[in-house]
Amino acid sequence: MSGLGERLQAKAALLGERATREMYEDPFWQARFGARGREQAEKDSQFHLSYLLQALAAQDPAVFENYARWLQTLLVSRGMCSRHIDENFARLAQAIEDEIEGPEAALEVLRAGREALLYPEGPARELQRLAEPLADRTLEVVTSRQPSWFSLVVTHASMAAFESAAQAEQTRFRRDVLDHIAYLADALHAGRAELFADHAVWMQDFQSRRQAPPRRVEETLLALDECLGLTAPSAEGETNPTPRAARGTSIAPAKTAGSGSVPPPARASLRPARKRPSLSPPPDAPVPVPATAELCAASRQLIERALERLAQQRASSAGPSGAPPAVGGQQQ
Amino acid sequence: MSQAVSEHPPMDSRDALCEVYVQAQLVGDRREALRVIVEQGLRGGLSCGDVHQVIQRAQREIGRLWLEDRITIAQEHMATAISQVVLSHVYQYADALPPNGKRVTVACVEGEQHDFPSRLVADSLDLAGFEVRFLGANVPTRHLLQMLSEQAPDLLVLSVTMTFNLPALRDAVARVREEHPHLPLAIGGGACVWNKTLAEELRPDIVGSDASELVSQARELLRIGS
Repeated sequence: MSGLGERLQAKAALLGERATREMYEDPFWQARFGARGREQAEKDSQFHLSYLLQALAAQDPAVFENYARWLQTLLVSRGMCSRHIDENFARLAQAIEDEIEGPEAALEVLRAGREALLYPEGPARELQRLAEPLADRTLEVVTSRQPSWFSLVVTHASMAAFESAAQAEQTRFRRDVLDHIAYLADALHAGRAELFADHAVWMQDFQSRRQAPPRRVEETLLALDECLGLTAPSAEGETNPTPRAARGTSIAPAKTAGSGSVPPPARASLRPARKRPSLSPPPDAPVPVPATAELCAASRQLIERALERLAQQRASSAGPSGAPPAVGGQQQ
Repeated sequence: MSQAVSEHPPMDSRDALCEVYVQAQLVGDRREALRVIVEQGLRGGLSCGDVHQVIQRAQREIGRLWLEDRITIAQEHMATAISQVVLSHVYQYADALPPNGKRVTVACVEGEQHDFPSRLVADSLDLAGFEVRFLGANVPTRHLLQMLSEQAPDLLVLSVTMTFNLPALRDAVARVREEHPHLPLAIGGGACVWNKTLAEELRPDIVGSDASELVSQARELLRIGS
């Protein structure tokens, strides 16, 4: 084994423990995956390191890339999203960079592994590529529509210490949206709508336990759908054929004269009538999230399914039980 | 049905057979699984090699279903146990080729618990006329070396499924070459599929991606039928 391999092996327990501990500092992880999930995550970190060592021994990052793709199917099917795996790899890389001398080759393998989590083609890949601007746009829309969400919230102290409560909540909200997008991309790739719906149902329950505003998940998914559906033609392939003028208002930041806020997007998108008003966007509206028609249609189907499940969940929990909803299972 | 067709049945018949077989595995019906393979497979015109391919494909499907969390580990184990039973029966039903006088040792490397792929290879080699010594899962390298000294095979097949067992493969290959420098070596299993540079690194005589390909390469290497 190479010197780097030996150094990694000598500190494997420390590296794995640190990566897992850092992830579980976020209450989401404990709430979503529990003590058993944490125990499994520590074991998983050791598996990651084991495959990393084999990739180094073979001097071939493809060994780790193959593992990353296999792991992605395994964990996505058990209630995680690709973003969580990416975070795990990233934290492991940071721990290695801090703790191991001469870590470059290991960091390169982990970088290749993170890259391998990007789907090769199709709507899922496109959605992964658009995740950041789409999250930004969704945040803008929701901030404008629901300003109270970001002012009457409880945030955890470590974030609030550095940012205002509103900024911290916006940061957390944006992260939640990125999770929604990652779950959506994973469900699209797997062709399994229930993976996204399960996540939405769990998230609604999680947020209600944290005294978040009611219907927050639903409103967020509607905004996400609107941001995707209102986008302009993509440079890649077939694009959404609906003319922008017929697709409702822009999701651009507030530029409307005198309003001071983003005009409310077309709420008709996933509501019963499903008719979008024929409003023209402002002439200077940017084109922030260019999505193809294929992606818009595929995403909408999954979001619709999730909204249906959320409505069912709301109806069933209207009684006195308040039992947590079933989710798609945990890691094995 | 012509001879040519019975020797090379269309892929869809194997696909259909595989689907029915997997269903029997998933409900845990050993007798139905066996009936499907014997009645619809062997007596329906499929060769033993075809049936092995059906079982191999079924096992991959079972693995995929577990990976996607559509079945539990318990179901996966039950399904694999059924395939072990069925393989034994196929072995009994099949007409083996006459002995070709070549001896092959098949083993999983130390630590490797997944022995089904290597068992399939062992049975395929046996039915192709080789004299096979199948050592099963997790064979300690020093005991493997002892067996090689006693048996003096013409070919050693080492199987490794999990990538984290590759160090054991590297160690076994090095020590076998040290003690038996002229013994031809084949490697196979899932870890060899993920690690494309392994063949270049270890330079085995054969790298098998499935049982039938490995048998074919073994026949060629050992000049069977030439």
